Amino acid sequence: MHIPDGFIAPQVYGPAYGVAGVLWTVGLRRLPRLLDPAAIPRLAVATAAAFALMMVTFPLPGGTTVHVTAVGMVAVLFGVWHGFLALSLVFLLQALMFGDGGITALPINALAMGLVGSLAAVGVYRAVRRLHHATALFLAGWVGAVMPAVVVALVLGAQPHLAHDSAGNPLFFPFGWDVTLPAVIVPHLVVGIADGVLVLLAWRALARTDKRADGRTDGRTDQRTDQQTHGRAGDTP
Amino acid sequence: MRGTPVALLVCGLLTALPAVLAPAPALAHGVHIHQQNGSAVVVEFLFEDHSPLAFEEYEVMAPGARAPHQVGRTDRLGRVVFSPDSEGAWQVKVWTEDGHGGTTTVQVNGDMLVQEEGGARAGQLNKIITGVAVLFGLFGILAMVSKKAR
Repeated sequence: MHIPDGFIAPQVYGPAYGVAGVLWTVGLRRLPRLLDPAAIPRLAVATAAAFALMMVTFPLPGGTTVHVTAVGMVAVLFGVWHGFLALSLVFLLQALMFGDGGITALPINALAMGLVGSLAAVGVYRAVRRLHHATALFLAGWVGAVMPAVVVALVLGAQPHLAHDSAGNPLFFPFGWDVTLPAVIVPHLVVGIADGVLVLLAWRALARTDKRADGRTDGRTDQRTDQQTHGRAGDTP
Repeated sequence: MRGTPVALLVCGLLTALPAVLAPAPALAHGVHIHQQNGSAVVVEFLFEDHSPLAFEEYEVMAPGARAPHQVGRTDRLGRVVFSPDSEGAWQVKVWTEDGHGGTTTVQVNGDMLVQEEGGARAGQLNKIITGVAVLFGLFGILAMVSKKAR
């Protein structure tokens, strides 16, 4: 789902850089208040896991490949701002070091997956968690993969309409919404299942670790640390 | 029945008339095919798992050109093969319908050959290990800075 360079018109990635730049600045300014030092190792592991999982691709029929996004996992465990910043860092690293996803497309990848994906995942989790917690976690992972796919499909499909020569030939990505919406979204309806399972597994692994830690401290849990460590989406594992 | 051969003859003459009256356009339908050996640039596009971007659309832009030099679909091995006719930076772009693909610049020298062969073919495991190490390093710095700040 990472959009490469050369696919997006400047009139799209220019404003996207403006919006993402403002959000990166706000997020980084809020980071000291949002982030407890005790949470950093966990956030580091989750971000590294997201990076590694995104690099492992699986072939799909039709000659394309997909990968788990891990957007829901980071967002539900740590919150929207953490998700946005951590995933933006992953995309920056992938673009600069390995050419996976473009520099010009970086803000679109960050906004689509980091922001929209995180917002959707946390929103769904908060809406459903009181009905059934495990379902809420699974749906958060699923929607965290599908919503960014919708945004990416819309942005890609808009390119032929926004940037074309006098003869109407597209200058950047050539396929319209009739092609991009099914081509991008349908595979991610399946990928979302893996992402949903990933959120469930990550939540349970974290809960088990916390239980062990609580046992070692004789049941005395620092509520403040728990909330700041991994309770941004509303609950503690 | 007697009139039939005459009618056929008239029809035949009328059909041939444009070719007789306007020989140039009629000859323009001929296609001259010429085979020869030559050099070509081969650019390979692979997914992360090294499976080819087979039969995907591509576009080759000559240096400074506004219209494509060549368009088409990659072969089954995910390759774009083109024969440059000018020195400079040629741009090759491949895209799939779901937004995968990539753009690469090929430097072509005066002999119409690629200046530097090769490209990024780092193993996936190497990439993951490197990326994870860099991320842990960055978060380590963040932990140190935030501890100092407090």
